[in-house]
Amino acid sequence: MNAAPPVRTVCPYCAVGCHLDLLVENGRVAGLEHAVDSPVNGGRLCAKGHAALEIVNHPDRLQNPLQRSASGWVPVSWDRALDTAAERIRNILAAHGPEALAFLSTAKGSNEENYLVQKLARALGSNNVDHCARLCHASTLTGLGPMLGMGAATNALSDLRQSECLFFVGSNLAENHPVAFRWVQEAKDRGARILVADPRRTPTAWIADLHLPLKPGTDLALLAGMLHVIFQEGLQDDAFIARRTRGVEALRASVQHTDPLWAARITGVPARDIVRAARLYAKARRASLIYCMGVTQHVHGTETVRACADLALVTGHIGRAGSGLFPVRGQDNVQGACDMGALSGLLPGYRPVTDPDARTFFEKAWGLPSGTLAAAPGLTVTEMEQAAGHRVRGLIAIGENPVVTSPDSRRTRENLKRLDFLLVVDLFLTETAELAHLVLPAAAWAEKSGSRTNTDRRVQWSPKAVDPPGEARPDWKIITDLAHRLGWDSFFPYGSPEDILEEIRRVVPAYGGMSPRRLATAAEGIPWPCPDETHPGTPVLHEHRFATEDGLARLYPIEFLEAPELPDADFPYCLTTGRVTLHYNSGAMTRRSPSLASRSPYLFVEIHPEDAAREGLHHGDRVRVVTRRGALEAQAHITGSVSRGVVFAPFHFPETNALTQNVLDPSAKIPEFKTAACRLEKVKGAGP
Amino acid sequence: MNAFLHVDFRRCTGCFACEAACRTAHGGACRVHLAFADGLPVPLMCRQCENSPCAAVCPEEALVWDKTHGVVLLVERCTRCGLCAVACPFGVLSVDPFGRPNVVKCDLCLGRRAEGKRPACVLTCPTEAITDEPDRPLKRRRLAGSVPPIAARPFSESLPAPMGKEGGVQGGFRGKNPR
Repeated sequence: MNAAPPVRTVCPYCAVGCHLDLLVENGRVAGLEHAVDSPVNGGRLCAKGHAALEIVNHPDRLQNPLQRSASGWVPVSWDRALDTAAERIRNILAAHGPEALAFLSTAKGSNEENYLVQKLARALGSNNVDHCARLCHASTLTGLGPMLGMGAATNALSDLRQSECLFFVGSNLAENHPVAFRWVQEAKDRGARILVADPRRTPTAWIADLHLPLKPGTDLALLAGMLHVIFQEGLQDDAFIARRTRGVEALRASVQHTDPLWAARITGVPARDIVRAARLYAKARRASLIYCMGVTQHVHGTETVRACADLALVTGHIGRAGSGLFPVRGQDNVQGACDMGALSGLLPGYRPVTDPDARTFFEKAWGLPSGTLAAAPGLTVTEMEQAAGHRVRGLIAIGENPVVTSPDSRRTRENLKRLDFLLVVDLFLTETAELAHLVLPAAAWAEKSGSRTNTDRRVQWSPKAVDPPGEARPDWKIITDLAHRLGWDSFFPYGSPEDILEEIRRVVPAYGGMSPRRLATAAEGIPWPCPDETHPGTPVLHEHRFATEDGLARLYPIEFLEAPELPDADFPYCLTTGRVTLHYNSGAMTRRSPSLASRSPYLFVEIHPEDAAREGLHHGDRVRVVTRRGALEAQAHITGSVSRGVVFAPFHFPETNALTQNVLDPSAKIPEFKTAACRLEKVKGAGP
Repeated sequence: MNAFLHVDFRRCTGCFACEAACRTAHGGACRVHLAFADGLPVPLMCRQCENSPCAAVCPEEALVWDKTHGVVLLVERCTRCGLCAVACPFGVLSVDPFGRPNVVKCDLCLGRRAEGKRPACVLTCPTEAITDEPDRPLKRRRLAGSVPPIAARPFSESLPAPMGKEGGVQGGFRGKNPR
């Protein structure tokens, strides 16, 4: 083969940001080369990364804009599609005002695209722009923001290998970020202790020195119990607390009564294990706390995130190499989408919309007349879906699939059907796109250039390798064209993603030094903050001062609250949801990948053998899981890896979120995905 | 490179990367199999046995073991009779009567090695559960202090003949483990 040299792109799946070398032949992606010399993954890839090409060359990819008509989908030209979209949006604006319009941006798009979506929404006078971070790590932003001044991972993931103690809370890194797990293995090879708090014995817990199988929704009690032990035994880092933090007295008082016996009663974890975990974590010289959606996706997500940060701050395990706090993001650019302000309450660079100075700054930067930007925070993802068809009349969903991803999906679907105008931009005709009035075909990751920010804040450039199929276009082009038709042409003068990045550099200080040329040549990407061209980037945050006003971190007292729906006589089990290694979020991509779908083709639920015996279920039986909101049917997997009384279902299948609760964390507005009371019914007549 | 892959199943997280990589490298059929025992994964692939049961039963002598390539299939000799698949104690060898290649077994990525690349599953395994450097796991365990330093011999020079006393190689495997 004498093909052109491979094009190094960034994998479109999880937030580790592995490099994928694509072999291009005749304008088509022909194959995949392992990026052996990549500093990120060194040639390693997980099963999803290997299957990425199946998405690019998938026969079901949308190739033309599609408009709904009485006789089904009609392919239309781009001109007609964009004209229609602009007209419908103008009608809604004229009839109901900008508040009736909502934008769902996407963590699968580049930084540039997210920046454009929020800019368009805000130029139209609406803060109703949000994306799926609301469903995974919103509580990280609201939790860590006031404490540390920044809601992002403090260290690079590769730093994990230097830790002497790794404490995983509600994170299944081995399955969800397999390539990053090698750093955990390296740490373990050097003798690091691994602690895992998870209701299931996940692949991450297989290598754990101590597994704490707590009841879903009780993480806060576990952390409070550990903090009690730390203060009781004097394991806290007093020098660090005195020098770098404020509010320790209130925290100490709040964990006075949360002794391990109390925590053991609530969490179901033996008290001695809580004590051991606290000692191992606090006494290690370098320790990392890794948390994920097991912590954030709760009504008390914000409090639990704060308890995690309290633990790291009190023991001084933050702001050094090998010591950090790692909220592990799920999607390739969910960090970047947050940085770009695709959040209802935050402008680019995390500046609150309520701050008049920030609004003036962006009005000037964007050349908008004063007073264009709305001062009130807009609707969040879940609020948009609740208000859809009522207050919200038009929704533009870019690369989002809320019918699968949002809680209580039956109601979401009904609400979306009531919209005056639903525009979906996606690769495939997803479950949400099937409800749309207009569907626009988007370009996949290999078909567009752009920068993406990984979970450890590294910004990497992913260049375009091939042209999109048919008439599909990259999102940035679609949004720019739409903005032009809405009469904002002078405000969206972009000819390429590089132009947009130049503007981002001017308005987001953390991205100041990230010129397109510099990003394209940086092998490993550049971790923000990187204020100017000569700045090397910041792999470790909070080394000398925190990003708060006075440079000191705030410790927050802990108050334990119970989950909103506890198992009772009618619904005796606790349903919790999570990910499996072969699928990815809404499954829009992975359920269409033959190699992944063939290995994990259907929905299953994991049930403990004792519970299964009580319900008369056998491995492979069809089982109906019923909650107060809905029911699903799935195959029963009887396994000791879930705790007694817990039923686990992966959320990659459309059925799962029909069951979850639409109860929101008051400050983060993240739904309670991780607990729901359920009952099990054997499906009769369907043999194994 | 050694003529076999070392699997440390305690490091395996069951992420299916090896299977996916194998499929990508060989197109279609996968030669690594992630088997689950009590819910825990073990990657299985041809062990390149020195006293290979598959080579021993092959009536056409189409499978031969050699020190640098492990168990090699001589395609032109193979009649696709399937005896090797029956003989393999690990069940990692299958015969496709119609497809190509006829015997599906790990060839340690012969094509990739010819280009100077490492086998796909070794390269891609996120946790180094599969490795082509058998001394690596040993070194790692020595690092943790659980194995005394001894000189490892990659190949034993004097082993009994392939056909054992109990009527074949597999006789030795049976009976030892009551399960």
